[in-house]
Amino acid sequence: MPRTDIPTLNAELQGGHARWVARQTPQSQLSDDAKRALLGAEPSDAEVNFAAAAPPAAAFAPAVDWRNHNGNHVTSVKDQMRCGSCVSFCCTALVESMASIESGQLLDLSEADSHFCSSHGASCGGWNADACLEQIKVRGVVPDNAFPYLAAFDSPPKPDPGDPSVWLAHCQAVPGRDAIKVTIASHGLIGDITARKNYLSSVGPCSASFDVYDDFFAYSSGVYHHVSGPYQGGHCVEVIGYSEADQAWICKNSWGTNWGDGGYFKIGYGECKFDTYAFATAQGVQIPAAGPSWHGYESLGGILTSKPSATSWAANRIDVVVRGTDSAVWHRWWDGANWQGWESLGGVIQGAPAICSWAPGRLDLFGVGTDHHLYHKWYQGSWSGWENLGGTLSSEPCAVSWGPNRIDVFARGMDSAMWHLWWDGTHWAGWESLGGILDSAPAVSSWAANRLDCFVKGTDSQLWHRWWDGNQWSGWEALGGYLADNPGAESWGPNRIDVFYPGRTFHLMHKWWDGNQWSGEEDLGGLLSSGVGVSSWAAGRLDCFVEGTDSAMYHKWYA
Amino acid sequence: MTGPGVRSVDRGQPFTVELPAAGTAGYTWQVASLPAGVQLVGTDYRVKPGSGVGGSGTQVLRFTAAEPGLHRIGLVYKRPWESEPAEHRSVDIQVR
Repeated sequence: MPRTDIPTLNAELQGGHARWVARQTPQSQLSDDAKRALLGAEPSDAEVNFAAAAPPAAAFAPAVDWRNHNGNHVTSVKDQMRCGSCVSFCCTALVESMASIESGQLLDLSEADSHFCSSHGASCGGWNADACLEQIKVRGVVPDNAFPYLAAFDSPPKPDPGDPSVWLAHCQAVPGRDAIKVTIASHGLIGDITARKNYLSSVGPCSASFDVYDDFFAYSSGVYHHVSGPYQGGHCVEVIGYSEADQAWICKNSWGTNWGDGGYFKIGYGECKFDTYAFATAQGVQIPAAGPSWHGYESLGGILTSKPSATSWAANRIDVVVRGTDSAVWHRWWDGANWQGWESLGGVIQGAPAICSWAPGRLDLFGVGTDHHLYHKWYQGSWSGWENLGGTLSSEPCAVSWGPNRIDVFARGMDSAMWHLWWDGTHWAGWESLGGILDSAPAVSSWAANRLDCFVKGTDSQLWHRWWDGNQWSGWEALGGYLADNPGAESWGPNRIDVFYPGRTFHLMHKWWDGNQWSGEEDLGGLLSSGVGVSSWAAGRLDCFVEGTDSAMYHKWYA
Repeated sequence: MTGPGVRSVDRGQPFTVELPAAGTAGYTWQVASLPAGVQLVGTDYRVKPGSGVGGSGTQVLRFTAAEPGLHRIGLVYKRPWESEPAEHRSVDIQVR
């Protein structure tokens, strides 16, 4: 092609009312081959197909507002306060809306967990919605009550020394967060305006980023468009709908309800780059199933003069025994529908009775008489009389059965050591000394035949443990903690033990063995006037019984 | 709370006060008290580069002062729709 004739080209441009003019440039004087060498773009198939793809067909309603679209799927307006955490507020709001739409669940998610404990890091700096939603997908976000927003800041909040315009933020570890976190299956971005409206019309809200100008702070109502004031920065909000009549997006802000229209606003299409930055979407909200938790305390009445002792011979059955004001044994039981009793079982005992069961319909009851001997009474269709098993005991007993026709009883002797008596199906064996210096009555559990775990309060007030593994007794193992009174112990299955006792503040304290390690102390509250009796009818079920400060029996259970 | 020492400014010449501000959280510096002869002529905002959506920046307040002497400008850091300031700050100027 001949070299470009600039005057002729300019005449053509003028005649065609073009909006540009031409001049001689070093490039206009090159040969055709040299000109072609300046080029080099080779669109990929994807780029060609994308450009050639037809825009999405409009399939949206004239207006949508997810506050009133098959119900209200927009949670309340929140306040990010003096922190640049808008991205976490708009993304958690989005996930809360999708949970409502997808499964009718009302969630309140922790913006603090999202912003300060994720890959974003513990600061009030900015972020982006795509990265935030990816974090919610891979690490989840916990409920707000597990990590409330204000718990991320000091009390009162302090400016961040690195950026005094915002508060100093801290991540707070949430124990057991894997069991309570909410995740999403997927998230995406939508650019095309028709696609955005199609999505808002048929799927749900989105999150949007846009440019904030100074006049936006004064928005009250109507459709906002920027008129005056300097640019303030990028902001993220939840888009909860649109109106074709108003030519506006409808949004939920995170500046509290005193700003704008109760915390909401409308912004004109295309304003402040609202339509330039992609909308972010989230799908497939996964909410954890409600797990077991502690319940109670419930009062079961009575006037106790000892700690309770409990056993369970089957699901939905508990038998509890205590000493009454007459020093007799009193019995209360759960039959699956109601608490029965109190029934007097007679006797005159020192301290608390102990109870165990080797089969449904069988109960074995033990108490220390005024002569310090161990006494035994059993139920098999009816109650037997009291049987004297001897010994010279200085504490109440504990008892456990690992199977039919087997009972193991432990108590403290006059020498403060732990003593052991057992029924082997044909006769009572023992008493054998297991040593130690006990400052309480012992507690015992068994997770299988030929396995016994004994727990006592030592003279140092910590929990001590000694176990029979089928071949021999172990040494004494210190487990720490602080016991104010007798422990109680139970096993719901192999390699699982739960131990309870009143702690330093007389709250119910809990330690447990899970097969790998001891955990606790867990503080279960309450105000105890005695040691603890505990039973279990199945894995994952625990029933604790204590004497309260009013001398009544109280029940706390894990289910 | 006092500002960063006394600044010398020339009578009639614009001078700026720059303070960190979290604009996209709604927080801006506003004039609480202006001494005689001092005027606020404009305010700008500089976003911190790479700070992401929601990131903070620097607010620039531009003043002129007509009266010589020592003067104090009172500023508050607050959201325009809230009544209680988050912070108070004073800027002392010596006008030549």
